[in-house]
Amino acid sequence: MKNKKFIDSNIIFYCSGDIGYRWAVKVAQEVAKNDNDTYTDVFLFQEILDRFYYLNDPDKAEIIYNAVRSLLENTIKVTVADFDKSYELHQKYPNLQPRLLLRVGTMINNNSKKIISTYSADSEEIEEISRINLMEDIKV
Amino acid sequence: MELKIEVPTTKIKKIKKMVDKELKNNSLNNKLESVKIITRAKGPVCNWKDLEKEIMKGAI
Repeated sequence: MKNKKFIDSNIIFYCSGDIGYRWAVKVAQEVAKNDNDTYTDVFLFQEILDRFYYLNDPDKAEIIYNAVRSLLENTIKVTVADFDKSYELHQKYPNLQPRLLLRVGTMINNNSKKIISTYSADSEEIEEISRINLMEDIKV
Repeated sequence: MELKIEVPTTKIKKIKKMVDKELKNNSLNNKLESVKIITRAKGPVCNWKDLEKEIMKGAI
């Protein structure tokens, strides 16, 4: 798992968005070509299902779910230890969303420090991980 | 109250047909094909904060 890069769900959402985020598609294509270097956790799939549930769009949920399952084969489970780690991080970053901290906790427990994600001020605050610059470093 | 957003069904049917065809050809095994499918399934881009706001609006 060392040196592997975590794929954040926002890449998938921008890819499937109705606004032309070409860079997100490029990133997904790179992920497809270098799937051994990347991974995600099970909560990405929960986010997909949640999102389309609230959009009342089960058909699209099925399409995206199946396509993403095929794209991201390296999906890891989230354990109680990851929740414990995220709670530890919560003490350090009390203003950040628990959902984000759980992702970071999972990454730390899997010795992974790089995340492929869009810019978010919240995640930039976290010292334990670093975001791959999508505009400059498209090669994952 | 549940948040309901209308989605055009014709577009969905088209995409579903396309996905069924893709599944038949077993092309979902091809990761690049998967990216194409994700890209074609156009929908509103929103982040979690926006979505949460929408849910709150519905709840009110």
